[in-house]
Amino acid sequence: MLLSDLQILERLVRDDPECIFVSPLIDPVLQLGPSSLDVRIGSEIKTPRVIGSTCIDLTASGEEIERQISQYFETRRVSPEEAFVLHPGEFALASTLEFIRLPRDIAARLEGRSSYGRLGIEVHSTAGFVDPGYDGNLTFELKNSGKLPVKLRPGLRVAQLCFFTVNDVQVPYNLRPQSKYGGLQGVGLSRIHLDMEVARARSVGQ
Amino acid sequence: MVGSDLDALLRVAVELFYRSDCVKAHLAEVQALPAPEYQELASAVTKALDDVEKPAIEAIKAIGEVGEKAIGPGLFDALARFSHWFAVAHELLVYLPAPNVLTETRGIIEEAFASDYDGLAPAIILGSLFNAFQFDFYQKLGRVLPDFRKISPPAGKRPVLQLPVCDRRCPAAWAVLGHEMGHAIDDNKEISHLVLPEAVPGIDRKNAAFEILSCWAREFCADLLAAEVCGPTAIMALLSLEYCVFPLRPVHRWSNTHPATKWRLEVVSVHLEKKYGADFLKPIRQAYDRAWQYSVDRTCPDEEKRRHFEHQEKLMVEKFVCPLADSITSSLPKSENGHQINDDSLTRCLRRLKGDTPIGAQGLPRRTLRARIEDYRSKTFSAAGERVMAFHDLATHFREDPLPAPALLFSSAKHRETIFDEAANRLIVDGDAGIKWLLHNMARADELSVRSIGSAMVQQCCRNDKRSF
Repeated sequence: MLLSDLQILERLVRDDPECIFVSPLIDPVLQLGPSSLDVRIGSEIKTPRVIGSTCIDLTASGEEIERQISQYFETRRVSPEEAFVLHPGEFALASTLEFIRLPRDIAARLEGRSSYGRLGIEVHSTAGFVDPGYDGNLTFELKNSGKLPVKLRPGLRVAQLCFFTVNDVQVPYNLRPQSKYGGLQGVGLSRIHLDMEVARARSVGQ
Repeated sequence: MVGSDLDALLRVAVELFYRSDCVKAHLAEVQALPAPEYQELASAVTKALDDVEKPAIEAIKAIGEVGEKAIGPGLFDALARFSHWFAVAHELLVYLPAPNVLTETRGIIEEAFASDYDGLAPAIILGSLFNAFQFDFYQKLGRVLPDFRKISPPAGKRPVLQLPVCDRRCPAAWAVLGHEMGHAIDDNKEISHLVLPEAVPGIDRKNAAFEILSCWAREFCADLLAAEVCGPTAIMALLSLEYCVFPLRPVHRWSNTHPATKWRLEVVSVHLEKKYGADFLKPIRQAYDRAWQYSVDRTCPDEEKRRHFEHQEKLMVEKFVCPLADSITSSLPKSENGHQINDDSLTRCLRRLKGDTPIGAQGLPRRTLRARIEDYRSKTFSAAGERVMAFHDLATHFREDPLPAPALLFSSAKHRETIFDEAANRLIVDGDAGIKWLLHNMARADELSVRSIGSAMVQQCCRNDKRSF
């Protein structure tokens, strides 16, 4: 069941562990839609740099993949008054300003907002689903599909979250040993090197 | 050695292990740079720190295994060596590329000092461990390069505040910049300069004592200004730095340039207790008293010497410290923001930090909001417009406000104290595992605090510029 505006508010004030935690809630009247909650972009941006790397080699060792990925991105902290320009075709990682914690019976979907979509701004390419039990900032996979650069500032409401109730979850995200992004603060880089099949591909290659 | 001495030394140990790790993290970043010329120095300094940490860990493990009675001077000597090399290693960092201070560092000092920050527009740089100082860039450069005055107009006057490199990512330590801002404001408004003749009447300006008291007045003034706008964390940050060099000098002594830290802590405590109506610094004072007593006992082993020192100290406090503190306090400009720290809000912040959750903003307590929802549900609406109005009214109560600078800094510092206390216990029981626990938890806590400050800054900006958001 998709939560309505009032149900979202009710969930925000439940005691743990049933509470949906979202903070900061800067302007709830503005952020709360009939069945969604707008979220804002934070101040950390990671942009890919192409110099020095020919590829991300997923058959390399775990450590090497991690090193390649961390060198692939450049981190910038944008002050609240500053702007960050997303050029046409450019890809960047950012995160929600809000820290989010979901209980074990609630899942969420991260969706773009129509006004930004109409400018060509996408907030995620494939990963818009948030599992029950997740906690941390959510990572945006920003892309400008338009033809003009777009200036973004920390605090802009670029996306929205929809919440769903889920029954009978046995192992929520925070208790799942394979979870890679729990407790994430700020923008998280890919931790693909921790995937079992990537490790397997590596051993087959050897 | 008694239990309280051990407490004091363990406090020194956790501060040193933590800060040493911060230096190593900085060195790891330098080593990752595409600049091979720095790598040798960076790896040498890292190795030196690893080497001096080992005997300190061994000395602590020995206490865990044999018990307090068998300690002897081993732990103190190991910490003295660690402290010495830590200080040396930190000073070597100036030869390596230094990153900028974080945006959040500037943001929190700006928020705390408001128009004083705007007026003075200080530059904040990373640098030495000992000279977390402020200076007038224009004057300094003008003195060594007289031609500089021809190029740059006096309007270029700009204080420079320096933060130790190891504290780049440690928000609780940033409050030390509050003290340096205090100096800059004092220089600008001449507060300590004007109160000195009134506080110590009849003292000859040519007398050497006048110069000493003038320095002390400046320090008290900077401490009090910092406490007024940054809250208790400013003096806590100073103590934290002092613990790192504790084994290197007798901390109970005063110098010609600085009053004894114990007096400074006392003066700030009295001021803050009046301001907040609560003694937030009590546990900090109790811990520092143990270190102070350890220092006195160590340097004045015989009874007569100790009594003489205590008598001398009492005289200094009565004759100089109290009058200076009273005069400065009464001349202090009040903080523009008038931020308060209240117990309830602090408890909520600490609970959040313990649960690994950021504290950038705070709204009404959940129980209050639950009552509002119940109230809303009990209403009946005759028109759709009424329902919309009532629901918007309900949603408005869910708004969270950005936490003010003193509350953010103090919550962060209190959380750090809790981690340090637990780490001190774990060090004795678990040795290496205790250190691992300390470093993991402190890295996490610092990151949470940095993020919280960042999100509070964005929130403040959204509020000031509502149209854009």
